[in-house]
Amino acid sequence: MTFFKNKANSISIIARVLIALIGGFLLANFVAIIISYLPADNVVDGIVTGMMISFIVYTLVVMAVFHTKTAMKAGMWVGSCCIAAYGVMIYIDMVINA
Amino acid sequence: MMIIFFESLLLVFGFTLLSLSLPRHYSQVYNERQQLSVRILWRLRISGYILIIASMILAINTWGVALGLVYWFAYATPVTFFLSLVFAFKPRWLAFIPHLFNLICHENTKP
Amino acid sequence: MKPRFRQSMNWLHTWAGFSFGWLLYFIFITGTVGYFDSEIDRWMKPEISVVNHLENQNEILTIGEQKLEALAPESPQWYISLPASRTPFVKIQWLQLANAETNTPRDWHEKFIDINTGETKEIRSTAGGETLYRMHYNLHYVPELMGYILTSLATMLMLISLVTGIVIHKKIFLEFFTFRPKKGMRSWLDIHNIFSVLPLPFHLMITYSGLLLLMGVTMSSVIDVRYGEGRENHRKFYNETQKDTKVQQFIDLAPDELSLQSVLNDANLRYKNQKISYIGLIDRGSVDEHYKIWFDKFDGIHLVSALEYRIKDERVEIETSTEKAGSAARVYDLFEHLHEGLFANIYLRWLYFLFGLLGAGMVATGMILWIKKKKKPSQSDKNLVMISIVERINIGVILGLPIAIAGYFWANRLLPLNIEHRIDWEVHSFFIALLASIGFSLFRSIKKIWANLLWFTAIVYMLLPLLNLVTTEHNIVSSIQKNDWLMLGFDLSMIFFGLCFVLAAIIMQSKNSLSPSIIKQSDFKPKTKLALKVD
Repeated sequence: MTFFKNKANSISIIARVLIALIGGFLLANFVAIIISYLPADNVVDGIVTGMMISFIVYTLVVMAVFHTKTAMKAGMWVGSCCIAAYGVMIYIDMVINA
Repeated sequence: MMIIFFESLLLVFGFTLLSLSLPRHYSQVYNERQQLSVRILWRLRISGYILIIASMILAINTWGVALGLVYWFAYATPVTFFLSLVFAFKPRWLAFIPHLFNLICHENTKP
Repeated sequence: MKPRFRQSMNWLHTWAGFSFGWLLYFIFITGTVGYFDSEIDRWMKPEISVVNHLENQNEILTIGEQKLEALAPESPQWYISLPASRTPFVKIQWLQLANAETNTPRDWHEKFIDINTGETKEIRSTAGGETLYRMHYNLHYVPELMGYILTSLATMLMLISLVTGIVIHKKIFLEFFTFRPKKGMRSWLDIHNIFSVLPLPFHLMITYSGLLLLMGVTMSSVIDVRYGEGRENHRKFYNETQKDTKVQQFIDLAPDELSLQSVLNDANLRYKNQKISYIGLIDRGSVDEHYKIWFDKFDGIHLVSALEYRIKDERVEIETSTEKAGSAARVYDLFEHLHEGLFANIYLRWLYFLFGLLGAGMVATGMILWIKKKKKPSQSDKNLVMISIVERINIGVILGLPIAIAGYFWANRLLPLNIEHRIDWEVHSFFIALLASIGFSLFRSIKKIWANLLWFTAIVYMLLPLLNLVTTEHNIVSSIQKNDWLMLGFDLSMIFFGLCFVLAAIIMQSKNSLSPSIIKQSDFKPKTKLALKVD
């Protein structure tokens, strides 16, 4: 385990775990909601598709969070992706309900 | 029943031929002195793939695409598991298989 | 592949795998056993009279109908189970509505019928194979919701372990068949690879489909945002996803002749090659009264659910579902059927069972590898104690689960038939046996745990058919005579598993006797830095 060696890293590890677990869950949900808008006529089918794909997103996010050079970078990436996804969600919602 | 027998046979032969194209397993089965020449390597590899694809076609033909693929994976797994145990403990048992297909000829090996 | 990526994924694989390893092992073992839940049910209810020769279905139906009329005349839903391949007996079921006056709750009831006498039989109150199966996602002793969330979390970590495992396995094709025995850590890694890579399609399928099956709970916020919050909306959503494409046709049956018997005869005529396994009369007495027929079907992944017979516009109409209406729902359905394996015939079912065991082996060898890697002499004293405890609990869990299952079966035969909460006590026995194994491992000398527990497991399984002989009227010989294949299969399987454990115990003991004097590093508490460097 040469990747995380000394004690100072345990804070970094805890941070990554939280970012991966919570941030990943948030991002997976946002992406699922965005995907659910895709089928124009069938919202139920869209929701099912979104939920099924969300697990792949979650896996990739967790892998990415543990790969970045620092926990801070992981946090910034996940944070900005969440904000971007939230923005896309709000935008699509506005367009659909216009 | 016959289909299952042929399916398993194709898989056993196919995976054996494919794995014998690796020097690591080739030297387990035959004399260490026998060198795995490039020509024989490709013969083994291609015929291995052909047999494996044939087993896949047989499965899909018999049971349809969805169930056929399920059965293919379902038979490939125990076959490969069995082969890995044979390679670990009794590799000479597999020596006859390339001879069946006339893919290699060793002057001084017993099949 | 960049070396830092491999390193980071290695770390992730190790810790994602380790953190919920024991729970995943529990899920794998109970789920694997669950593939034979019907067969286990039969053994755990030995009072059931089994039907093996082709009985007259109409006669069985008449008896069932009479009993239902006698026991549940007011019930809106009647079901009759006809003898089928995994359930070779006759069973009636009905729904009892809530009644405020007599203070009875809404509940399902079932009774087994002995067709030799035409009477219902008293069956022992038992948790059955079904509970073992349900434990693999409900867990136990925790609320259902928490069980779902914990299982889903463990499954998510399993998926991450699988993907990172594939990424870090440099020579995944070169080492496909590689197993080098007797080389210590290298052999353990080889075996872990074999258990993981060879059944990889199954592992990926079972893990991903497991996540999908619980996604209605774990990803429920998506439904909340896009469809509606609350139980009612969620139920509506679920019903909409289950909508099938249906095909209707009117048939030549007089509406006043529509009855259980006529429905049975008609379905048998239409589907001569298939065996009817289940027939139901739903919404009895209402305008919407209809009959449903299910078949014993093992030749296709798509489970065509049922035939529905109802009266429409003064004619009799049959409705069949072909597949789900939504395309995403069809994909979900495919994964659901692959996970549950209900479509599998007996041979494929044993293969499912084998793959489940390989999955459990993958988790177990992973845990063993984690422990072995940590047992370096450079560890501090405190860490070595912790690792030693983890190692012991690990063995206690790995062998404890098979022991717990055997304990569950022993409890089914030994618990008195009329104690209160018999079902609960059967499950308690499961966990008591598991805890006892862990307790034993914590206090026994480390060199002896594997061999001792393996011998114990072997004995406890081999004696099950004997227990059956002593406590019931069933035994191996009588099962052959009565063509009771499920009972026979169970008894023989127990002997087979017992023999496997005997083999393992013998191998473990011969390994122990070969190296009696080598002091394990973990037993050594290094006091100075001059600790041995030998691995």
